[in-house]
Amino acid sequence: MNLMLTELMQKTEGRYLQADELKTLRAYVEGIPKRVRIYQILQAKESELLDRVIEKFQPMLPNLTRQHGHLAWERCRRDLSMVWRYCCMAMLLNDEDYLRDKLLYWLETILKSFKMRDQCQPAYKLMLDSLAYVLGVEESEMIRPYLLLAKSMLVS
Amino acid sequence: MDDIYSWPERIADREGDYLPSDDLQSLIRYSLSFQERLEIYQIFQQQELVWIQKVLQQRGHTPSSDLPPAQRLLARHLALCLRSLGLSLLMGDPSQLQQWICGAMEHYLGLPEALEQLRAVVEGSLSAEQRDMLAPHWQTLQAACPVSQTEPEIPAAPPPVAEVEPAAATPEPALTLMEMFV
Amino acid sequence: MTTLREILQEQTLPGHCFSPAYYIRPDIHTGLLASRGGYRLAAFPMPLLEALYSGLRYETGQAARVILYNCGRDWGEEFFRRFEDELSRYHNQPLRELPMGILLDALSDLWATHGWGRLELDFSAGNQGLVQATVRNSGFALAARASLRPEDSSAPREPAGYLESGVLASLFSLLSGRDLICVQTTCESLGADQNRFLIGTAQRLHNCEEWVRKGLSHDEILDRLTATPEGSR
Repeated sequence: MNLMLTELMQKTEGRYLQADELKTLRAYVEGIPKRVRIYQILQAKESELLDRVIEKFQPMLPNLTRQHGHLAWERCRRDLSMVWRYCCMAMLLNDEDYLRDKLLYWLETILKSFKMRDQCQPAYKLMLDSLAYVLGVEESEMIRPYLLLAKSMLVS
Repeated sequence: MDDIYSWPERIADREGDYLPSDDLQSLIRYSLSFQERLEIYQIFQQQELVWIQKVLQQRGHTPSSDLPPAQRLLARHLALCLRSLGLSLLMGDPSQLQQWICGAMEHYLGLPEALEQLRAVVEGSLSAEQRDMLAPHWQTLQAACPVSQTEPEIPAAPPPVAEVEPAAATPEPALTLMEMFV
Repeated sequence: MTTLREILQEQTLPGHCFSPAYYIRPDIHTGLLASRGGYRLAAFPMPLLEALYSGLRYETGQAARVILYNCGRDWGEEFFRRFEDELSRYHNQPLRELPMGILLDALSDLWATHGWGRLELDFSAGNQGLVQATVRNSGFALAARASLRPEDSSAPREPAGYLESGVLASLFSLLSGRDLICVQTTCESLGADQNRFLIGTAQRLHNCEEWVRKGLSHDEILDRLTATPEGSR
């Protein structure tokens, strides 16, 4: 469950929810079917989106495999896929903290310690730019805030 | 409509992956049943007093009189159970109920038996659909608060919580901790 | 007069203060674990506890037990303060006015929530000035057993829950307002199925350690303590 609901459960120990708390809960719960529908589209489009990103990203780093081994592009794709999936889950839960706590704090440290931030930077820009080509307007707008958050923490 | 599982666990199980279609379907079912859940929750809120009153009556308490300490504690625990059940139903998440603690105190107060009585009273005020919706939450709560005393050894002479009511009018009240070590 | 309506009007009804569902609150941003009442907690890795046990035994020999018991006593004092503060705030009632049942369940919950095992308290010998405590699945006994090296196996073996004994002695001293000690009679580190402790005044328990060393069982020791003339009130 998302952080908002976890906190709600924590602070309502032993009592009934107040009207404003019920309102917040209802607003999220009623939005679930839409989020699930979008989540399923994002899942179905992951491959197409990453194909496009990698295709445009590869010419920018012609020496990547020489620097980081022959699996470098596979790893790059794996990392981007991971970021995408965590973004999707965060969108489903309407919870930026989920993305931050479960992935970004950790990945940020990894990218910093391997000094990969600059190198990875274009990939996140490409992901954001590709949304419009692969997804409809509604899906793009629902996932964009999470990708922006990932970009700002990981490579900015 | 018997989806009952801990969302944090499911989400944790699929970290870095997508939730399977079954989970997504149950999320949607949860969302679509929210209004019914809310209605039951509000019945809880309105009927809490009446329901607990009935249970206390069944247990021999006259409604108009002052509640003795043990009845007060029992009433408070019953209300807490109702509130937690309601929240579990409303959130579609039984994790709080799964971690429910039924300590020596609750056993001493007869909470497990009183919960059975409460369940019967509550179910008597709900429709069949509402009862079905609530049933798995009751099961979770009652599993944590079973009637049969499973502890292998029950202390024969004064139970460890004999002095639960220091103010009770027993002829020889149990020793307080202070008196014990004279 | 307290009516049902008044009870239910309380905005928030207290349940179990130390329930794991509510008590421990991690914050990944600051790296802090805090308790319900805002006290700082830290997970204590078992290998560290094992290393402390074996290190102390190696450096100080027989003194290790006294050191650990005294550490337990000091810890117990702080622990009592936190227990009193959190429990009385949660129930909105001073500790001494809380029903004994709530207090004892709270202690038991606190043990379990911290992963120290399942604590049960038995007051059946209360008239003889004795409280019996039982801990199952004690992390402290487990660490004590794991910390033993092959060369330690020849040494005479005694119960190893000195920290727990110390903490229980402190807790019950502060709860009762009397100076109490605690002696452990059985220990999971010696293969017993549970750790049993006797809590009472030093006068009452003065032969106890000797009897434990001689290998008397918990029940034999309890019989002796409750049979002596000064054992009855």
